[in-house]
Amino acid sequence: MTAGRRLASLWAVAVFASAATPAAAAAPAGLRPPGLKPEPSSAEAGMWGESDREEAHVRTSAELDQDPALTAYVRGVVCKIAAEYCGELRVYVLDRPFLNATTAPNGYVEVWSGLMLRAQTEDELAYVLGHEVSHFARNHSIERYRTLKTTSNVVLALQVGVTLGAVVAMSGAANSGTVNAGDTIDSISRAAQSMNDLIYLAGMARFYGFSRENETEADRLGYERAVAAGYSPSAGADLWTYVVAETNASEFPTVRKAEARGSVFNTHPITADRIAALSNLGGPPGGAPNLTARRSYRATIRSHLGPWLKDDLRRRDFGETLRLLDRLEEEGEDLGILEFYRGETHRLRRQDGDAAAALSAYRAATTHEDAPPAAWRELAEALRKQGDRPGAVQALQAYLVHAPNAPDRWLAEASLKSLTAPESP
Amino acid sequence: MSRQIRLTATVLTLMLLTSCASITSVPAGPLTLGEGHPATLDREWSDISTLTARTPQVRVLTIDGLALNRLYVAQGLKPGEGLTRPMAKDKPVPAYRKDMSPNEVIEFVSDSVAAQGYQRVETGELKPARLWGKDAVRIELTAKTETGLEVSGVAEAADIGGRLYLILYLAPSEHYFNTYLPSVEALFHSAA
Ligand SMILES: [Zn+2]
Ligand SMILES: [Zn+2]
Repeated sequence: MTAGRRLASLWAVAVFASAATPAAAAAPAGLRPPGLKPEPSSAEAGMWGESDREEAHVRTSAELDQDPALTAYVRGVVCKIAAEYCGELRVYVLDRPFLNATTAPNGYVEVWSGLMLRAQTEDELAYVLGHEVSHFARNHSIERYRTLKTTSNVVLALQVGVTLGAVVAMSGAANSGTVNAGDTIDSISRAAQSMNDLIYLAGMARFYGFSRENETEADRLGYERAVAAGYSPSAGADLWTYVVAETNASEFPTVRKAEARGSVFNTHPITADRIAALSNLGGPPGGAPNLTARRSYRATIRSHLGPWLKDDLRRRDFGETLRLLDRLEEEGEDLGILEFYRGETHRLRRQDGDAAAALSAYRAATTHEDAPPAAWRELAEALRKQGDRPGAVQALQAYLVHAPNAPDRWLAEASLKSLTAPESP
Repeated sequence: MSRQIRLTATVLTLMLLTSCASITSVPAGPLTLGEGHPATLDREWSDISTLTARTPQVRVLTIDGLALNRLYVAQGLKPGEGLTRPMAKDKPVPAYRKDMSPNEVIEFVSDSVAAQGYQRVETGELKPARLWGKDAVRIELTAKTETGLEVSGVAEAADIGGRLYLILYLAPSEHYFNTYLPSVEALFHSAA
């Protein structure tokens, strides 16, 4: 979504939540009553409508995951931990390679693929969703609104900073008269900003992130929800501990040094005290792994592993991706895919030792049934670079067997020809 | 949205006043890319390079605005350089590298498109091509804007003397892509 939309929706979320306080406060145990709807024609209703529009935008977003079974699965988990809100929470899985999930006051829930890829069991996913639902149930967005008021100047500056795409649209070009305002400006700013969105959101998270008190409370309530639904008590601490390990493996010193872990634009910063508090609740992380739970969760996300890992590489934080691959390989499953992406990560990183590491990962991938055909092509290239021409020829031939109709067949054939030609002096 | 437009107008005015950013006409006719590589445009384009985060060797041209058609002309990227400049140290952009395999050049083009904010970038047909007499690869692409609009692309790329030359055209699949495709093909042809 564009920064502008996101901003609008944050305003909506914040203002609505603020206005809804009396209703929420009147509910038992300080929780929002199920089925809460704003008074028609009230200001809250307008704000609710704003959240609805953001939801409509997400529904047509190119990032929306296209697998209905996956969405149904996540929805099922939400309903297990929040039966009372099941009818009003609508789940959207977005293919975004960052660990995040959000719940808007109108009941729209975003779950990013970066979270689904990092969860090792349904228990871990359920814990995060429980945390999100708890922000929703406690109307935590109020605090965000209070923060917002004091930072509106900063917001304005940021907004100016991200409208460059719209400037280009409006200033027109050779055929400026033919530009159709409205949609064009919108889509231009979207296209130009989408990547910047992530940077923008990083800034936003600093201003809109929930307070530590809210995080601690959502952790505790989320924990209680997940455990009451039968999920593992250590799941939360297990996942956050892993996230800390992943950020420690980051390519970038700024990420490694950050006190709050998780993706930088995560509005739920993970800190050591949060992990400690969770460990006190549910016992320390790192108990005996529940292999059945892991295998069953893996089966659910299996068909997405390749695309999600490819997305993850777009972050170009190769240290984190390698740590993630270590985690994904713990069960010894999906090694053809995982070793292929390990090879890709080393190939893209190009530091000392990466060429050899890429070669051995590609070689390992090709020994497994689920290796993508590109594993043979990349193995060939790695061998060619090492000077192993017979090995490269053999791997390229295997590539053509595995992908006889590949669009780059002509490239592979040209490469074969040069590899089998007598070596030039 | 009206508030945003007003803000935008202000930004535009500021940018034009400071004159560091400008839109210039690129008339039909010959142009030289990089170190003396000739090509010919068969129609007028607008050069909006200074309004974008491009690297210095990259020109960004358009006819109807960036959303409707855009032409990136990379005139010899050095190793380590990408189509655009990174916004931050921990947000690197795809970069051209020394000794890239042809598949890595294709990957660089497709990753660079994704780094412009396009989603679901897929390469389609790949064909051999020539740029200034050197081996090049022609890449067809499809992608979506964040709002789900289908986009098509075509590119030709070649490593010439350790530098990457790239001509990349992107436009919405419906109507716009085909409208200016002949001009882009003519440009490719003039640079063969
Ligand atoms: Zn959006
Ligand atoms: Zn939170």
